[in-house]
Amino acid sequence: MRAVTPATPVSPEARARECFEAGRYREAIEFYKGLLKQERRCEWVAGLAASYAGRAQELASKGMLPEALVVWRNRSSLCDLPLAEGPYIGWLLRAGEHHAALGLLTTAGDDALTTASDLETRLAAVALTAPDSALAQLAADSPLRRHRDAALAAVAACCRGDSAALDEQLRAIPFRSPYRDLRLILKAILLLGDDRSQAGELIVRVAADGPFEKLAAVVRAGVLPGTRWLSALAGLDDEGRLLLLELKGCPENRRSLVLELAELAHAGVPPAPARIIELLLRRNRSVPATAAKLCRRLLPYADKRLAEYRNAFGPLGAAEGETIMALAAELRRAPEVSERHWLRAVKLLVTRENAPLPAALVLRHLFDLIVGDRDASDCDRECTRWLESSLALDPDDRDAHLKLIRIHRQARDPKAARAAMEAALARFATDPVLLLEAVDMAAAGGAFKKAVTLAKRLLELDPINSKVRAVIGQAHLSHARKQIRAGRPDMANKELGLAEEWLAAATERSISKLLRGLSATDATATALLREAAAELGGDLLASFHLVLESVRIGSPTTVALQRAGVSLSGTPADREVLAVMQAINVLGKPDRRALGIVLDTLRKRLKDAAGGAFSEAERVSICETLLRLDERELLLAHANAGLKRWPERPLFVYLKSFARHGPAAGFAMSAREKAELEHALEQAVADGDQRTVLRIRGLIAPREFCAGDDPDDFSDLDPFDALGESPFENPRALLEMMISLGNEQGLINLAREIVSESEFRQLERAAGGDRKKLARMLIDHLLELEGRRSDGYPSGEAARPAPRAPKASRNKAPVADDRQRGLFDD
Amino acid sequence: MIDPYRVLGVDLTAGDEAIRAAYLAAIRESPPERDRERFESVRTAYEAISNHRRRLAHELFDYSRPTVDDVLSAISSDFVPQPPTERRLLRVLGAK
Repeated sequence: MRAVTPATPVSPEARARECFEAGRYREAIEFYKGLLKQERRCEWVAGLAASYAGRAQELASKGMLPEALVVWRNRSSLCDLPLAEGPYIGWLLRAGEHHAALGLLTTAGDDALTTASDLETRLAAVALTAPDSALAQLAADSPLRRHRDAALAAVAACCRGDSAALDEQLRAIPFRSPYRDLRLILKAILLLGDDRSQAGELIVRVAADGPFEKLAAVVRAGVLPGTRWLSALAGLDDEGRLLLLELKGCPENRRSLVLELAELAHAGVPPAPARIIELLLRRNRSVPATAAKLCRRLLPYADKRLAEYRNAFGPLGAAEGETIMALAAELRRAPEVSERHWLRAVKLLVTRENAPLPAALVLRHLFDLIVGDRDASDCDRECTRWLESSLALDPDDRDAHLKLIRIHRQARDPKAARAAMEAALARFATDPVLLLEAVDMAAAGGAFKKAVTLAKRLLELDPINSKVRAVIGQAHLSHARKQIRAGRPDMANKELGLAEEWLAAATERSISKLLRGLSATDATATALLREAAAELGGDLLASFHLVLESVRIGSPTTVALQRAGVSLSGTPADREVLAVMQAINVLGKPDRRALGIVLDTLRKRLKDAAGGAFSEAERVSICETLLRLDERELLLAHANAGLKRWPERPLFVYLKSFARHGPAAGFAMSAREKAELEHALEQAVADGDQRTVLRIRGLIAPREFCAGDDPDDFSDLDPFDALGESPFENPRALLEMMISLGNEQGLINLAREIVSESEFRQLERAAGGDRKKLARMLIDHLLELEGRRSDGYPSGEAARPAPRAPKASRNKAPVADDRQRGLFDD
Repeated sequence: MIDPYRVLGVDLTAGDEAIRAAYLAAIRESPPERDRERFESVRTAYEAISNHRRRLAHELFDYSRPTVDDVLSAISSDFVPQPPTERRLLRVLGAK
């Protein structure tokens, strides 16, 4: 049983203080009064005054002004304090006690002159609005009486908008008059409509808490730019708000709407579209056409209110209705529904005169919505037809032409690509981007002469375009290879001569020389071959180019190596290895087969080169190239060398494990290797190396990236599942960490894979080029998507349908085959 | 929705030239080194409505959320600032 501690007696002073601090002013007043009966101590008098002030404020805030004034007068008499201080005059005004307010001047007694002058100034607004009878108690020579008529006349002139009369009346108010602030305020009011900045300059000269502060506060709010005046509106009292709305020219029947909006602005939260629609529909008769337009634009957020909108603001066209439904479906992340509505809108639009452009834009939008940046070859022919139809309706969109050409190229349909390119060039014959695409297309298709012709056309438009010069040189080189392969050395030499006119880089010129050497077998050619090999700077680099070019022109590699006198023994120099990696990186897909042969020839030397003294960046670059080529044997050698030099560097640990076991390392690794990799993961997290973190996670537990139990179910890949397994319980913290580590770009790339293209573009626009802002907006959006996903809504990725498989042609329709029917039946 | 027309201070019926003139004036007034945020918003607004095709696309597909500015601009497009009434002004000063 606990012992009961005796309560410590509380002194009346402590209880008084406690009551005051708890806001129980009445009790505090009684306690202090009791104390003052014993002894008149200064601190108790001050306590009593503060308690009276608190109580008076309490009453005034409840609108009990007469009671508040009585309490204030008690404070003044019992605590020997001046009456005309604090909020007393304001309360007198609000209570309409102008007589009493002005009476303060006559009862001010023999205070110093400055105090009397201060009081006069404070009472200027009272004197201005008080009845004449109240003014009678003031001395006849009081400035409050002498300047009052001029001040009232100035107010009247201001309210008439009569600038000249206002100036004249203001001249009658001297600089030291209690009404002096009125001079600036009234002038600022007249300037509010025409010159807000000048009005602002005038109003800043009016001291805060002056006699006309309420009026000054209204003008201060009125000069604020944009919606800031709306936020300030919420901070004014009722009269102030109405005056400001009057100054702004707000009609009476729209005041409540503006005030509701002001509350939203004051709250600082962006208004929800549904709320805005609600506000505007409710007041449809009092709002202008621009508000109806805004309401119409927001209808996708409330497509169920289409009928209400029609009743309120008038009919909508059928195509417009479909557009709204389509956008609403986009918002609901229902692309199939959206597609249906967009296609209906197109049908309605094309039947209208002068509407091919909207129809074309809708088709392009639909293409972006369904296909986006994905490889169009994954999608059915219908998507491509949307683009083709859009160009038929509006052939003047260069970007749409370019998109169509690239789609056909991606789909490996050169005939369609050529047709699209011809159609585009017919419209945009001198467009550099199109011409460059045409050059690239021709070169990729082996039409080197055409490529050169087009490139020269492009060069006429842009003579200093170094990229085009290089393209022409490369086209001639490619043509020369073709001629060598066809056994036409003369033609090849001619092409090489032309190539040399355009090629600027020393390596490219050496390759041209090397091709001259390979085009013939005589002594001169062999000499050229040796010369080129020497110019290339080392046996490894020379053998790389020799083998590559031999494969390209279809000649035996060993003969070429022998003729050039290039040795395949010995350890190559570090710079040679790096140059070879760089050369590999610039090779295109068509050279993949040739590269395989080159690497077969050079593998041993490249493996021996792993012992070189590369810097960390160089070693990483080599490993990344080898990883991309899936050269795991070479990768293992270089990753081990990297680990030896930089032990426990997470990236090298990852590369070593990958090289040893491949992508399924999670199943093949020993416990020790797994522990080593997990340690590297911790290190990568600590280093903020997000890329390595994700790579190691993928290697340790590849199945974590699958949503379903079915090991083949990789289509449900969801990065959030991976994040959910992270050591961070909070995905926001993880994503924010990417920003704090300066990896905004990584985050943007990650988000881009998840967020739909249209949403991404919107956010990008909203961020206005600020990468950090975009990254933060993407975090919010990703987490919102994740929230919706866990609430049963489809995720952002789901907004875009899975690639639509090409529809089977009628000729290839599967034949019903029931030969195995019943095989698994009981 | 940051209304590009409002940002550039042009009418809904403004043509390419008027919009470009307003854009150039706006970026002269707010160069990136002085007010980066304003400059970006002006540039974004110009990109959204710089030509007929873009203006039409903006009208057809833009459903971005409105800001308070957008709503105020829409409901106050016909406001004409005017002098106050004497009664209202004096009431603010305490007249009954």
